[in-house]
Amino acid sequence: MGEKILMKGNEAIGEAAIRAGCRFYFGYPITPQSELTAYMAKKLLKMEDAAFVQAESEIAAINMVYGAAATGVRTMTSSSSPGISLKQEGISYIACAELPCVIVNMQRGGPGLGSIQPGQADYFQATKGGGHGDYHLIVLAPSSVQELVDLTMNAFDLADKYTNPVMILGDGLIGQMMEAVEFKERKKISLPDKERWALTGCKGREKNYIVPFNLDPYEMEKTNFKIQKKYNELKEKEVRYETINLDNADLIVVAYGTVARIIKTVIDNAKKEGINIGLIRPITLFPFPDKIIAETSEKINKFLVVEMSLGQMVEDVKLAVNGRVEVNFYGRVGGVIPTQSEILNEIKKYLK
Amino acid sequence: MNKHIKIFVGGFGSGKTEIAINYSIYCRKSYTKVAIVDLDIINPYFRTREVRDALNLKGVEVVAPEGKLTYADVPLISPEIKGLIQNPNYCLILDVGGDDVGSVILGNFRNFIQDFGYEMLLVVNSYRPFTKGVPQIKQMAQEIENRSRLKIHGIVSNPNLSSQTDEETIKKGHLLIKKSAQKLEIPVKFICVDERFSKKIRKKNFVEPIFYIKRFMRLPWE
Repeated sequence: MGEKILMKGNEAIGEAAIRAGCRFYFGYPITPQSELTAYMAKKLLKMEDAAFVQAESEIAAINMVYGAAATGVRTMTSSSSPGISLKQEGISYIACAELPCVIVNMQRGGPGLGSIQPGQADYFQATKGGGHGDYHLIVLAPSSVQELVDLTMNAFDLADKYTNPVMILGDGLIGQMMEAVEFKERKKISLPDKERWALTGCKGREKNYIVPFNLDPYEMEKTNFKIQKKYNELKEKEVRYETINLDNADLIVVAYGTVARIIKTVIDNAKKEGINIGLIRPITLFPFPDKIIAETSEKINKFLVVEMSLGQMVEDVKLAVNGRVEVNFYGRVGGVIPTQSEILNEIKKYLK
Repeated sequence: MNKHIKIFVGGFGSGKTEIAINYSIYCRKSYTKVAIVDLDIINPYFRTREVRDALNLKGVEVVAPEGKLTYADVPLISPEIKGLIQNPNYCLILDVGGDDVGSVILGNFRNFIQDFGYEMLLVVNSYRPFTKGVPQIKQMAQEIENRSRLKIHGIVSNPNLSSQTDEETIKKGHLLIKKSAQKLEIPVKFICVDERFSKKIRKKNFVEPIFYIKRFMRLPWE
């Protein structure tokens, strides 16, 4: 067991990334994730064979990640909502070129420049592609600082395994709050060899090419099918979620990240009033845990989705239950966090 | 000279704000006029201004960006701060942003602060990543003194792991902070202990005075 230290979410991502072997960070500061950029600067600039660049823009930063990823190294960038929007073209290229990297989005209130308080309204952007073309990111949604650490380390493995960009989708609160964390020894897992595609100097081997295009539409279609196959595999193998109290619940709440954490307190408070609430907390937002939601909807017919958006993940929940049960929604936006009492009131209204 | 100005500095996330808030309420016992100045130009969340109403109820004035600017992340410095520094009727608590970068702002008021007498306290939590060891704590102290161009008079020991703190955490963490204080030749003024330990951790456990902390910054699930 490692020692416990007290870390901000943003710092914890930085430390976890470095421990997972990330030595190349490119970013541009933005509230509320700048502590991550600052942490990487503090640490990576003192390390050998490492690079930290505060790029001139988010667009530059994601393209530096593209370049670094092409050489097979573990690399990362991070930003918050408006900055992530700027990165989308580069992310689409990286997904098309099938390169591994980790992108962190500590969401803030939107749209536009929005506010600097937390939000979850980038769900569509994160899970449905975000940039142009048919592609997906693997999207991980942590709910505590410890989980931020564990998922950041997993993110690099998943990126390498599927040669696909992975997004950590948090929010400003989880980035700014402080909790005790532990960096556990990780089991070595075997990952595919990067030599088959990485640009490491071709002396003594066939040339590798990193190509995000093909002018022959039939060949480009093949590229699409190849990438799509990975997404189907992800849906089969990598879905993760947490459930609480699914048996005998009066109502199921589906929520992720910060909101799921509030729901856990609401569950305890509601129990005192004789209301049984169950929780399904998606940990992977893509691939989405639709099977468990569908199965649960066969037993319980009331679903409430709570988000810091005006209704984004709720669409995936509706697809999962496929019209079998009613799905209600409650959301606050712009940087406002829903309170325990307003969520409980919403639940009571629904159960009446 | 009556040192009516208390300045809390320290590493990023060392607990300055909670301590400054609690300390301002404590000072209200001996001063009729107490004001806390939110000088945090670094942090976008968990700032003194968020508990303005609770402090006002306790008779503590809060000087911080107001209204629409409450949630802004711009380096705003209220013009009334200079007046308060020069007003000896006030007990003034300055809650400064973290690390040396946060304390840059003090340079702006340095001349006035020096003229009117001050006590600058370095808050240290030995469970934070950049103040985990004696040399790091020493470096933090030096960097803050260099940037603020003011002198640290005492250390506030604040060893904790937030909700995962136990008595052992406090005792072990405090030992390291004490060692650092000895190296720096600066006294430990007091040790901060969450009020939930008020029955378990008593004065006899430590040579230094214990200052019990009530947490004002709450997370939405607490």
